[in-house]
Formats: sequence, C-alpha cells, structure tokens
Amino acid sequence: MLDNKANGLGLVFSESTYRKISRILYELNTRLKAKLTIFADMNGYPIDYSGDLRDLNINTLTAVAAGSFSASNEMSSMISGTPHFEHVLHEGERDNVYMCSVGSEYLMIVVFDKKAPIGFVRLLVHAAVNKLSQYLQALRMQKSKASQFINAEFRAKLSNEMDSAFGLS
Amino acid sequence: MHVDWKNQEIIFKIVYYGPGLGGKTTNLEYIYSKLNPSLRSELVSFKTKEDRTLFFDFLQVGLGRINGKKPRFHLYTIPGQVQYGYGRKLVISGADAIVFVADSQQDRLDENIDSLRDLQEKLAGYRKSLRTLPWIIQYNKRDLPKAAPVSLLEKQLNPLGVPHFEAVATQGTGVFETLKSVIQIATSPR
Repeated sequence: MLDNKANGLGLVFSESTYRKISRILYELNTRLKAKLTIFADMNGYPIDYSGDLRDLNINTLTAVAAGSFSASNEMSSMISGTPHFEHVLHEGERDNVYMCSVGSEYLMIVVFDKKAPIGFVRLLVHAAVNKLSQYLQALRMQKSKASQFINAEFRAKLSNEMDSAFGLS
Repeated sequence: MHVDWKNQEIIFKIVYYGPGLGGKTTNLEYIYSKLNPSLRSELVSFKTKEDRTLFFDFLQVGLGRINGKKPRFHLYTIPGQVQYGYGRKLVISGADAIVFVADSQQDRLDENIDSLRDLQEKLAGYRKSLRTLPWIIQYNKRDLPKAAPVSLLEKQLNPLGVPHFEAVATQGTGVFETLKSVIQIATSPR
C-alpha cells in the first residue's frame, strides 16, 4: 500500500516509495564502489540516482543512455526479431557503463571503475533490479498523477517565465 | 511528462520532427546560442561525418521555480533522412508534443508530405495519432526565394488547423515563438 503524503499543492505522491528506491540505489552504489547509479524511465527521464554527479548533467546523461539502450534493443529486433537485450555493457578507458532493463519501462545505469569485476557488477545489479521490481506499479500510479501539478495558475506563470527567458516580452 | 521527485522538477518531452535539412537542428542550435546558459544544458548531437543528424540532438531548457516545481523541457530532434526510420520511432516515444518543421520551399513539398505521413505511421506504432497528440507546424526557410505561399502549405500540410509559425531558423526568426507555443500546448489539459 502506498504511503501517500500531501504536498503544498494538495497533491499526493509517495515519499515512502521514493525513499525505498533511494535506499536500494545507495546500497548498490556503495557495495559496488560505483561512481554513479541511475534509475531511469526508458524515455530518458531520471527517477533517482546515487553517487557523484561531478559536473555531469543527469538529464542529458540519462537521455543519451536511454537512447543508446533503445538503439541496442532495436538492433536486437533486427537480429532476432525481439527487442530483448536485457543488459548492455560499454567498456571505456577508465570507466565502464552497465545498463540493465527493469521491466519494460525502466532502466538501471551504473558507471563503475574498469577494475571492478563485471560478474560482480552484474550480480549486484540484478539483485537490486529484483528489489526495485516491487515498486514499479507504485511508480506507474505516480506517473498518472503527474498532470495534477499543471493548473491554470501554473500555465500563466510559465507563460510569463517564457516571455522573460526567451526575450518575447 | 515526468515528475522528478528528488529535484522537484516537472519534465516534458518535445520532439522537432520533419524532413531532412528542414532546419530542426538549426532551431535547437539557435535556442542553445541565445538562451542564458543557466537555463539550458549543453547541446548533445549524434552526427554523421557529413554533419547530418544520425540519431537525435538533445537540449534541456529549464525555467524558474513555479509553485514549488521547476519546469524542464527536453528538446529532441529526429534524424530526417529516410533511412533512419528506426531512430525516429525511438525518439518520439513518450513525446508530450511535437513541432513539425516544414521546409517552405516549393520543391520540398513532397518531402514534407512524406515526413508527415511517416510521423503518422510512427505515432500509430504507439497507438497515438496527430488528432490525439498536441503538435504545431513551423514553416521554416521563409526567406528563400522559392518559398511557397503559406496558404498553399497550410492546405497541403495542415488540414487539422493546428497552430503554425513562419520562421527563418538560421536568423532566429520565429524560433522562440515556436518553442513557447509548443510548450503551451504540451502543458495544456487534454
């Protein structure tokens, strides 16, 4: 059952679910001594992360990673007829990036030191993915509620912000 | 639309669609060059060695906090070249609104029509259509001598009567007006 909490706008979201996901990512990132662990939507939206972003823009990084993962799945479709690459590994000079699907809608991205054994990374990531799977339904429900944040007042203020930022006023 | 609970951000995905060499990337490059750096990310491009879009371009635009939430807009372009159909399908997944960037030149009319058909096909793959997904048209390259009259382009490309904007993306004309309009329809109730 979701532990919903009202925010200042009278809207609801689950802080409890969010905290549990954060905890899983933190534990994974710590045990792997990874640089960064991101849990994301397949459309390229980051849901949460653990680790050091340094100067990285997490939105850009996640959008590119999700695009790369989708492209790999498209390649899988062409080869075998099914979009079913569950995990993808990019090996770099110093860092590796391991990506793994979480259900069909979500994605785990782990940036880790090249010296870390890949088998160990896979093992721990898959254990974390299994833990995360129980929260996917709660995430879907929150997604459907997201539109409640947008009301007439929000849109009016947004219009003013755009005029100012875009030099249209 | 996505809510980033950790950073209290509301994020929308906007895709610039249209035929190859129509000016989609030029729109993003202009936005990138003119917007205050504190309001945008770096522009990420996947290009071929011929400087054509291979997969997508990506730019994040962020505005100030509104009612405790920070609106963010993820702007994507698609690869316009016919052979990159798979990339187009991936990029429009989860789009909240689309800008169709049409090339105004008379001799590009067929490419515009083909691209619009291609968009309809790709949307159908996600059980969406141009009747259900918010979109607008930008008639780009209005400065070129071979630009067709807007009335003709409207007749051929805009039977649904969605909002349209005239633009010269290389000079920035109409670029931010288009962006504001697509954000407004992306955030409107459906």
